[in-house]
Amino acid sequence: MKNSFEFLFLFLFCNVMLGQDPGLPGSYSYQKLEYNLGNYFQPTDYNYRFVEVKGSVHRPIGNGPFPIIFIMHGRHATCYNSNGNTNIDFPCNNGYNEIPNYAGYDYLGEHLASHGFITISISANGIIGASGTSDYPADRNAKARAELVQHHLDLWNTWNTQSNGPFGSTFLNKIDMSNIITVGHSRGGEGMVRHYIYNKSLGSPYQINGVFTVAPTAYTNPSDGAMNIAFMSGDCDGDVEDLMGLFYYDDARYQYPNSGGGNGHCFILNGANHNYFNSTWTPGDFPAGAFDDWLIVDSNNNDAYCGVNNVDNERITALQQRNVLKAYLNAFAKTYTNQSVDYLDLLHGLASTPNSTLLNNNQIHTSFHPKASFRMDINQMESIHCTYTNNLGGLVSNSGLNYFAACGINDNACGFNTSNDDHHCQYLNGSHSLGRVRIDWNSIGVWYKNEIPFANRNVIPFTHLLLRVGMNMNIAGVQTNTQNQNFTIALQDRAQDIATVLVNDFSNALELPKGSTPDILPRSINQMVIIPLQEFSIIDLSNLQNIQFIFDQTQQGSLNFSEITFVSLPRYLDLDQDGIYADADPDDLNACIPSINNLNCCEGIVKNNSGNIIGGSLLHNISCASSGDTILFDSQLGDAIITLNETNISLTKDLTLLAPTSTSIKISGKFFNTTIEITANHHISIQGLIIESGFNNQGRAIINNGILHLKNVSIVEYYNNLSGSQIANYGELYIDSLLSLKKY
Amino acid sequence: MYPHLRKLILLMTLIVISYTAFTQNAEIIKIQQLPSKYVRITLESNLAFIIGARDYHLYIDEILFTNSKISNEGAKNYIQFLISEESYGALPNSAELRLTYGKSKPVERSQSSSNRNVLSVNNLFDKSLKRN
Repeated sequence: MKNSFEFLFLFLFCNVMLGQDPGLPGSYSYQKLEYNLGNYFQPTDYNYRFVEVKGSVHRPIGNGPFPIIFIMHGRHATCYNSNGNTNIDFPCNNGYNEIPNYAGYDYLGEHLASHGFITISISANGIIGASGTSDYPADRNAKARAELVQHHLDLWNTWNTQSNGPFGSTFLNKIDMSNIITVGHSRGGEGMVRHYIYNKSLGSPYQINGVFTVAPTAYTNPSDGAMNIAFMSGDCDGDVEDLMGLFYYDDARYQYPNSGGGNGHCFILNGANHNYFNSTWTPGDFPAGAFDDWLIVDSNNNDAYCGVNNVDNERITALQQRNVLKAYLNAFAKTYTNQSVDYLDLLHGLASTPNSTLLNNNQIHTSFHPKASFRMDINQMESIHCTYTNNLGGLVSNSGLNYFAACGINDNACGFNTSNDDHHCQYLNGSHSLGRVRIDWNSIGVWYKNEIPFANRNVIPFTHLLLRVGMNMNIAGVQTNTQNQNFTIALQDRAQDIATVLVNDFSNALELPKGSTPDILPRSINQMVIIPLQEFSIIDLSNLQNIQFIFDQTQQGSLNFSEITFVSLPRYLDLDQDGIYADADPDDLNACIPSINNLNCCEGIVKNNSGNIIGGSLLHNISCASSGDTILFDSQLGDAIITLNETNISLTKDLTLLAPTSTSIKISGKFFNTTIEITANHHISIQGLIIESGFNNQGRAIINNGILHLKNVSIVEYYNNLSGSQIANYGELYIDSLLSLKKY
Repeated sequence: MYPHLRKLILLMTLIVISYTAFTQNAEIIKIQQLPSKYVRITLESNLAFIIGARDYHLYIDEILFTNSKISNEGAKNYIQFLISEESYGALPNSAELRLTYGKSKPVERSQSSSNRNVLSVNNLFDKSLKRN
């Protein structure tokens, strides 16, 4: 007994000290409320039917304003009687009572409210009840669900500003309507994705910070790469048994190649089914309509992995499923409502599974796909040419593989027996699935290699190497895996030095999938492998030449690869080199991740020849620099011409512009009166540059009102036969080795 | 030899009984013309229909219908498909019927007694069942 108490104390102590188990209750006390405004809402696709406006509310007690979370359930029986009979009527007929599907997430409401979120679970039984009537739309009610969510948002927006709703002034100025997370289970997940797109089509009256989908359907709706999206499903899901919602994650990845995209998160729970995320759908928690959905595909429930009648099964309990959802949803919501940066590791697949889930690390597979500004994609595998040339333009090669081909790009699957075996199959048109490269080998030491072009050789700004890989299990007529796999990843620099790691030291992606239910198990799902670049630090990461996967750990195997990329995770950056990582350092939180899209990154280095204010441009560096700074020009610019486009250069602080002597960089102001203007009393030093004049009569290259030093500078004309001067000096001018000047 | 034969007959009988008990099947029991230019086809089954994320897919001569309403009432389990008059009129009589739960065509599914995604439909499509 004493030992138990000691263990309990240690468990609680560790969690409290770390403060990072998002599955433990939060510090807020909370109140449960309900609202039911009647069956008056009519989706636009409905001609006859009206649905309920009703929800379960959990609110934290406090001043607020609190971020808000909306949850929507999926399709399930809506009515039951005392004999346990069920149907999908709405409203329920005589002798039948309503099944409160929306109340099945009260456990989430309690948890999230304790962490400071107002949580609303919306009833959608009326939408389920449209099935089998002339009001059932072809999109299986996805749009109707979206419209209902938007209506609830409108109501809550009103109740935040007026005290005339069902709760009086309870929520007056208590809701942070700029911080909204939506959550949907099953068809509710599809509804929430559709709602994100619908809200956007209305001009985004509400800012949806993140969409968390739980075992979602994905029948007809496109994904949207602008979303921060999470996908969570169990691999013993017997209802949405093909995990079709993976498509939301897969298809969102490259929709926004430059900016504006969101992050993707994917969590696959070993041993979890579909229904137990909702307590109303769980046998023992509600008297009718609840069932273990694994029975749909395995009516004897005796699959070796998912069947609870098999003594060796690996199913997890309803409590464990809900604990996982509580923890990961809270982590997601806190991150994307900017409440905390404590859960980035968990969401990125870099932290241990929280103790509160009662699961171990091998039972949750996490994948993460950061937005474009945090990535440099080596090979997206989305082109049929990806086995010859990668996305950086580098050569792709292999040696000794007995199968090496792109798949899933123009066909429906990658050779799987049925489309159900391929969990990355897109449902919109059935003609495209996740682009992949399939690799089979049957001898040790064969390899696959991606060359890194010279221009991309410096990967020091990145923190991790990330790839996704799946174990092929059901491919017709060819070998598949019969054991856990493993392989070596080797990075080679241009001095031919090599650093290697083994995948299994960082990931459980290559574990042999289990089960033997036809068309369902074992599953082939691409899972993330993420490796800190510091593991390769014995080579020169500023001068990388290639990445090689060497299949040297097993005699044979078959894998599908779906992306190889370098990523920058701000938490792991220490850009000001003060020894404190970005998660704890306010300076680093606006992390300087070099990108043309990142205007937060003020490196003081001109990295491109853009004449606009974009990340790394001259104008951007000037605008963000502090007085006294030196702005360097990257030697790779060589003899680049920076033609000013957005504006000319106005120097209103003390600055030094310094180009390496090995370069001949020209700054052209040909579209402006003058190229450079310097305001009074500022010390400016310009070294090693060529300045091309504008079209002013006087001072068309430089108008100086400050204290200007020129060293190794050439002043050249763009327009011929202009009179007047190239430099108009009204301040102090010091010249050291002026290389050319036509008119002064 | 006779004892062996009796055992064999007993075994076969048990197999048939267990197959009948645990394999879901259905048959059309009613086709009804509705006043609103729709036709409702009702099937009854020996086991409860699943109410979940999927729709049931009724194939009549490879033509697919998915809009259905389910009610499970003790031993009586019903699914009713709503079909437009126009679609109904185009259906051939005596066509084969197939019923699945989920997206896949029946040919893509294993016809396994342990998989309730695929149901056996006992009768052919018979337009003479239609009543007002």
